[in-house]
Amino acid sequence: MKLTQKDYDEIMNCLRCGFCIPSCPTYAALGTERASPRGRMFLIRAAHEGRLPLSPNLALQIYQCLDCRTCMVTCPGGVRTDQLFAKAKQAIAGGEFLPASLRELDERIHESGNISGEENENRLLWRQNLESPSEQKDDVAPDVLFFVGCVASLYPMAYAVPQSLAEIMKAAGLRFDTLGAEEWCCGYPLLAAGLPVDEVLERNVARVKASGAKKLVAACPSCFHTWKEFYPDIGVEVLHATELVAELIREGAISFKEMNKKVTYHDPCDLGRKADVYEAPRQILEAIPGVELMEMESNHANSLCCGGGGNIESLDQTLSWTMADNRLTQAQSLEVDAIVSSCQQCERTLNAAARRQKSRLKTLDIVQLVRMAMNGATPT
Amino acid sequence: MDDSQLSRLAHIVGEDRLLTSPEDLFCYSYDSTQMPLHDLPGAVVVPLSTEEVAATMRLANELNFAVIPRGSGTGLTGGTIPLPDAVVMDLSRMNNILEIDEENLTAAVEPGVITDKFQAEVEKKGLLYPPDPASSSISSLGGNVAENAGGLRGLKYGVTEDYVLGLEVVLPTGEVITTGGKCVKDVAGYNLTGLLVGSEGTLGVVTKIFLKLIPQPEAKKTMVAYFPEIDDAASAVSSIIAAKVIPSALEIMDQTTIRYVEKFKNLGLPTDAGAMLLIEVDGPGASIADEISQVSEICRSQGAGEVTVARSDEEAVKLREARKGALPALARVRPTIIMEEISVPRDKLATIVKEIGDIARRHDLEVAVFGHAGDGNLHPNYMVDERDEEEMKRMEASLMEIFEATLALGGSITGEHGIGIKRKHLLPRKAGEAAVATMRAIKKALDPNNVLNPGKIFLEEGVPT
Repeated sequence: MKLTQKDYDEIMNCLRCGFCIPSCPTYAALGTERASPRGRMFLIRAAHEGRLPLSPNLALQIYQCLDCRTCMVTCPGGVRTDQLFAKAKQAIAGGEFLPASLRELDERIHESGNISGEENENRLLWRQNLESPSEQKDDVAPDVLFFVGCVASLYPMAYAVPQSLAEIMKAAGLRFDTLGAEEWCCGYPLLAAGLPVDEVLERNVARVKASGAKKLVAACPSCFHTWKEFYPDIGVEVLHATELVAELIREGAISFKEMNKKVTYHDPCDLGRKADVYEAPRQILEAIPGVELMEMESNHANSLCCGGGGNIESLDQTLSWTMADNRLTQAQSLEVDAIVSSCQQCERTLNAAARRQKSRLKTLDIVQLVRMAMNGATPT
Repeated sequence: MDDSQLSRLAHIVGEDRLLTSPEDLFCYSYDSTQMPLHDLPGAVVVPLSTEEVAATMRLANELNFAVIPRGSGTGLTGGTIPLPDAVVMDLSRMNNILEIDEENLTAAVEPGVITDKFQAEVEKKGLLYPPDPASSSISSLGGNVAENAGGLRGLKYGVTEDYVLGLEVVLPTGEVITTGGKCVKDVAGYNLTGLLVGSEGTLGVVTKIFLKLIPQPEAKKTMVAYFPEIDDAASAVSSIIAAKVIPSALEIMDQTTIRYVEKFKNLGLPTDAGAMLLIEVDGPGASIADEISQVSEICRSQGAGEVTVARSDEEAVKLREARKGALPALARVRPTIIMEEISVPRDKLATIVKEIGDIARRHDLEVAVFGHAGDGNLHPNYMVDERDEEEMKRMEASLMEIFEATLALGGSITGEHGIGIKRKHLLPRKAGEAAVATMRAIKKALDPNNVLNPGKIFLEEGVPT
């Protein structure tokens, strides 16, 4: 696995001090040096130096990193583990040691346009139970293009998220549209696997351009982060749902009835550490009367990954589950009624952990909470 | 290692806790020491009990393989770097806090407990475990014991050995002994606890540690002072102690460090200052306000330009940022940072810092110094590129000169990082031949087959000093 000189220099910044180890969620789950950022950096270095041959086991070590970037928060050397893992994964993905589950994911996305390999028309199903259709029927370009994302549009248990956001935008008088069955996977799982994304990006860019919208909002932080960092600039402002909703609240376009709920907020990796959006969701929670926020021990930039990122679920379900259990345990130490997050993958992962642990502590998306507060619906 | 040896190890720890994949072996071939790393161990075992540790040591003597005990692998002198084909014994999963005894103010822990985690637990009970090495978020208590780790609180509170009441140890030959115990005072027989603390994993594998705790001080106050010259800062350090104020932290940073921290963090630090002192006092709320005023006055009278006392916890955090930012700032200057350390009598502080500067300049190298001014323990940090052989040769040469200068001032080649591999060649120079011979005799008595962490502390026999 050959890196460029620049990347090799970057690895040399690693002092092997080990400060990254206490916060790495995979190390917490697996308890061994090779499952730590320090260990993985050394393995990549050894592979580059020709001392360690590429193998399925080495590939597994690299892919077990979920790219949560908690290591980058504590690293004294400022090592760009994000870039190094991306390069290492690209080097592996081009060869025979790409894990089979990721090769299959690649095929599904390119054949069907989504992560689950089902008919892309299924992306229309979440809208069926809405009171009124959400897409524009006239020729005027929408104010906002709502990029729904695979999880929200294809996993029925997540339908409440796009439904809630649609209702919020409607109530605020925003004209919005979606790409419907023409929406393709944003490309994040491919990037996380080190696989090429050009085709996927091109398709989505063409369709968003065709919509005429000047604002794109995503409720999924992975879609949001991918659009912001990897998509070309097409003159469209890219927002996460929490940023849009916080803006609507500031403008007075939404108002709330009183709720009575103690919640904690789980910062998703892709929204927090990767996109630096920590305050918009907290501003929303603050704006809802009667909602009390209690922070978990690991919050903001120190937030603990839910275990749902970086294709880990496809690759190593047990590891993913252990990390989810660890995060749920943190939330359970607080006396809260619910966990609120802003990522449908985090919500899925944490709710699955609650089911496994037979816990009543459910996770809901912040837009669901906003919608409940708007209509005065009784919190569950 | 051959299959029959591996299967005997698997018999002790089980297949799951015997690691032999190349990926695992590579990950146990390093610690935090910056040095060329070529050798892979033969295997890694991860014991969960004293019995498994003892059985491994017995097997090591029977089959004649080396055992390298390891906590978190964050040492700075190569203490856990394996020989080829050695068995690394990873103690990080023996990580239970066995007891915190609030009546006796003691605790019992397994060696793999992380220092910070232990400190957090005792602090919940209003108690304090003072030794605070900079690596405390990741270093293990077993590692702290092996190296007799220090930290910022060393001047006022002492170091690891001052808090170890007793140990359970597996000797290199496999016997299990207990030294000391929970008593405040215990002089039954030789002080084996004292011998073992700081023995760098060469005289025994620690499997339980009995620690002393103290009540948490009521309050803490933080301040920083910037001085035009290093001499002024050093004089302030002496004057503070002469005034019988013993701060709980008394850290110094030289100008090079200040400049790089400012470049990295933009805190508005005075970059023409010769040195910075970070000073903390802790104790009863009633007295520390007076103490910190006294210290500020002393700093001003010794020529400090800028003196800031934190008025709140938030401000204290901000003041500590410069010192906390020292390592991150220096680590970004060049690909490699070599964190060295020396120890001098406190009154020689300014002299050694200036000599380090001169030596570095003569060898065309950049060195930044920060450290524990209160106890004379300093960290000269080299900013180099370990792939540049020529530069590394100059670094080694300059380091020898720094050690010679340190010894000439009555100092020591190590205050807290230990001998390990890195300072083997210097030990005879510092301790003298007779003392080293005594140490060797003890080692031979306890480890006749030289299986426990060989190649550390002592030069191989017959190698000239």
